[in-house]
Amino acid sequence: MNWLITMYVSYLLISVALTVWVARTLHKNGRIFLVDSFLGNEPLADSVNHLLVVGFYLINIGYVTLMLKHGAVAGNPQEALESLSSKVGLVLLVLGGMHFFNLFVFTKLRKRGLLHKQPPPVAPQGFVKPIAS
Amino acid sequence: MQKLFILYDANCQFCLRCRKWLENQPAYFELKFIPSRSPEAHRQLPGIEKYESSNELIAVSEDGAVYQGPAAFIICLYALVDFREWSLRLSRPLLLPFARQMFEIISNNRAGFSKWLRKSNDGEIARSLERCPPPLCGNANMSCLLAAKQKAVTNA
Repeated sequence: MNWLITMYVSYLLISVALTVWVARTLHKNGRIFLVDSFLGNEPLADSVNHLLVVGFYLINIGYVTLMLKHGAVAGNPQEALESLSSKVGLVLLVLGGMHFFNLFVFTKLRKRGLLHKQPPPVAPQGFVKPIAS
Repeated sequence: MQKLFILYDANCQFCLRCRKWLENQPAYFELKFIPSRSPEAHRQLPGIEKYESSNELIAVSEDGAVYQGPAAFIICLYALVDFREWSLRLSRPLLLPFARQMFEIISNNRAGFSKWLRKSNDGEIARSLERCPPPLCGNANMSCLLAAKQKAVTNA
């Protein structure tokens, strides 16, 4: 039964490694989006970035560990390898889904931030000199 | 933009309702309401007299840019956090002439209208509103606008 334990351990190692890789990608490249969305406020961007990454890890590691025992228990090494492949495949799909969801969130935040910088959509029809009060 | 002076007709019910609605909305910057053609307006904004003759809503930014009529309604929406995106859409050529009616619809917050506005394209909205006169200073012309919306919904 060594092969079953080997399969389980391989699944966990591969899945966690993939999760860490995607999380680090999002953390590094998402920061630029967030700094822009928060109008250059880097401490705020870093804070939100970190919070998003924590949420990402929680959901994905949770999914990975829950799915360990999912499906029929493999009866032989061949079935074990097939099971490993399916499980890792599912993890990748979920990671992909979470990745695009994160991008969606970044884009919405950025759009809201850009709205703040938006100039008036109409041109003035004249000019006066207001008295500063 | 850091501040907006809004000159409104203090005798006009529509204007007063608009002012009240604007005051209650979260805004990106300060909105200062001054009755149009008042000594206060002439003192604070010297030179504004020549724009006041047309009796339309006037908005003036802190650096003196004057917006009149439909453009003034658009700038008022632009000032509001929840409606800046709307101001971008409503400033498009087909919809700009109907800015006053649009402002009436938005400030009355009729459910169903915002859905109609979101779902229809500019041409459809313009065609529906062509038959609606702009809100008068007395009663709001909501019945006409409601009919326009109904027609658009049944035609869709």
